[in-house]
Amino acid sequence: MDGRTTVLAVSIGYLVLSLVVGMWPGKKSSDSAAGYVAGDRTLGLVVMYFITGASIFSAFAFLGGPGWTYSKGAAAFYILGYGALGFVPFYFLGPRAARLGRRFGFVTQAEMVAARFGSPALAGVMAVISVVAFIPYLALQMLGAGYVLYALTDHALPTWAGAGLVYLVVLAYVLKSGVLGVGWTNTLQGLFMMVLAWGLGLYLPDALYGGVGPLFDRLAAERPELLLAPGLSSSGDPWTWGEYTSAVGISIIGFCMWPHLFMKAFTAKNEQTIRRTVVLYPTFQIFLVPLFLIGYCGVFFEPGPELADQVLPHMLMQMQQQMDLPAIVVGLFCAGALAASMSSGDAMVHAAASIAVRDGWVAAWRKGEALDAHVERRLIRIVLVLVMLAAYLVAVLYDGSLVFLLLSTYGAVVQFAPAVWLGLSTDRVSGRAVLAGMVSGSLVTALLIALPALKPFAIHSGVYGLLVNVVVVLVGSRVWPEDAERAARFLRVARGGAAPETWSSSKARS
Amino acid sequence: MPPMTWRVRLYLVFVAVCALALAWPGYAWFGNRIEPRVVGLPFSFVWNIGWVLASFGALVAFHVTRPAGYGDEDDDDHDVRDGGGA
Repeated sequence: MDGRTTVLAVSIGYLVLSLVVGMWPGKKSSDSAAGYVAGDRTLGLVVMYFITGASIFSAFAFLGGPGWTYSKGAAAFYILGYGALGFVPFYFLGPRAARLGRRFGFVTQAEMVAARFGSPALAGVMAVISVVAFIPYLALQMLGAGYVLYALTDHALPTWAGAGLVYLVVLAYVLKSGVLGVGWTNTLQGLFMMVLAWGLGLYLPDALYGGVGPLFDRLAAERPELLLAPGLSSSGDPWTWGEYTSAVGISIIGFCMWPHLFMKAFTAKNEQTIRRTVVLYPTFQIFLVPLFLIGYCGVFFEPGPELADQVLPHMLMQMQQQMDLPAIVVGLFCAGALAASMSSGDAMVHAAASIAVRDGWVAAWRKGEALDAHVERRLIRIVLVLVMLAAYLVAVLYDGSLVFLLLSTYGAVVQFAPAVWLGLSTDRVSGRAVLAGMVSGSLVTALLIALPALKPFAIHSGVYGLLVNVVVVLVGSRVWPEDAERAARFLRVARGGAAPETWSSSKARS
Repeated sequence: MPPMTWRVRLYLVFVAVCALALAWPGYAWFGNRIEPRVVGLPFSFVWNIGWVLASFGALVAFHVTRPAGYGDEDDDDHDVRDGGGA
């Protein structure tokens, strides 16, 4: 068996293994939305930890991280920067959401927000924003998978075909087993990725430059601009501190607002599990370090990749053919990168579909009138396929960088922050104000992403949207006062107080 | 709403300092240089790794010093209403 065949065999073997592991626990979750979406609220620390980590360290980290470091240098450090604090708000918000979820049966973020503010429309708006944000994010994961297979097959399999192939596998196991399957698959993949990233991150500098020190000696001498923040922009010009800083800020605030991450509050076994997961999360951040080293290794690598985001698989395939890098290592890496893409992709498509159905269709359109559990589950599966198709279209049509795509989607999810943060901590903000803030903030962000020339300062479009959002929420809450009684009841549960008896009637009224 | 404890205040101060250190102005003024190198890595890189570790350490400390009764059942984390205001 020649090298490339071994690489391909190892990768495919891995895909099959993850399919088997992913489908197996599906039998155990109950056949209801709570079972399918929230895994019956039973996930313990180990699974939670890897679910969270692997969902975050996606194709974005594995391919986008090295890709950005390779082409934009220290601009990529913003990923480390926001990771240092990005999950911290969840330490406080997560347990509150979990208590509310257990008491009232919420399985999505928007359900919770809509109930807090007595506004089904809010759930609908959040569903729309979520799906809009998820589609490019999912497309990014698909592109990542496509890039890996493109390198793996020595450019025989085009990106669109590779992406399609891998995501058929994802579709199969998510359709089969929902979030528990996602959980165990991610545990396997999370472990895998950490080992591989460190292995390669230390091996490549050594094999190509004689160590990490010599690698940076050469970079400092020949390309010092790649070692200093804020690094370079997509066009190769220097990035600005305004853009770097606002990228860090928006990502910190927006990070745990991602519906698929926030939903983990509802899948966790208990509050302590959530807190520990947050506490342990930076251990995943440290795993980004070797990925940056890999990106820097690509700077002087000849021949260079066609696209920056392909730098890692490209280097590995070249080294396997020219420098006797063992085929099994390359195969395992490619599997790891595919795993990274799949583990994030599955969580996202699952979240997007659940949200579209539960928040968009049931909560907002049907005004909370529940569907039969089996009907709901079937609907979620149909939407899942539609979301996959939409993301696939974006993946095929998009030709920019993975990180830029991700950064733009943060502009959308960050608009949830005022509703969730304030909704879970004060009774002074009202539903109408939050709704108006979210809609206006999202529109401003979308407008500025589409027409960046309108921005007065070169900072992330989401910052402008968020400012408008917050101002509208604060002013609006004065104009339209909140139903203080409902808010107080809600907050009492969030804070772990006695459960109110009157909630169900108030929920029905809203 | 009961007043914030010293523990929460201290942690929030850390979060604010950390946020400022991760981008402009802290990073730009103090962390953004190639020398001194640490185990071969440029200082601008080490700066970020250091803050990730510091944030980890601070949260571990915050977590293990949580008051008794901050457990799972009657968990009243009232003291953190502005948590993570980075």
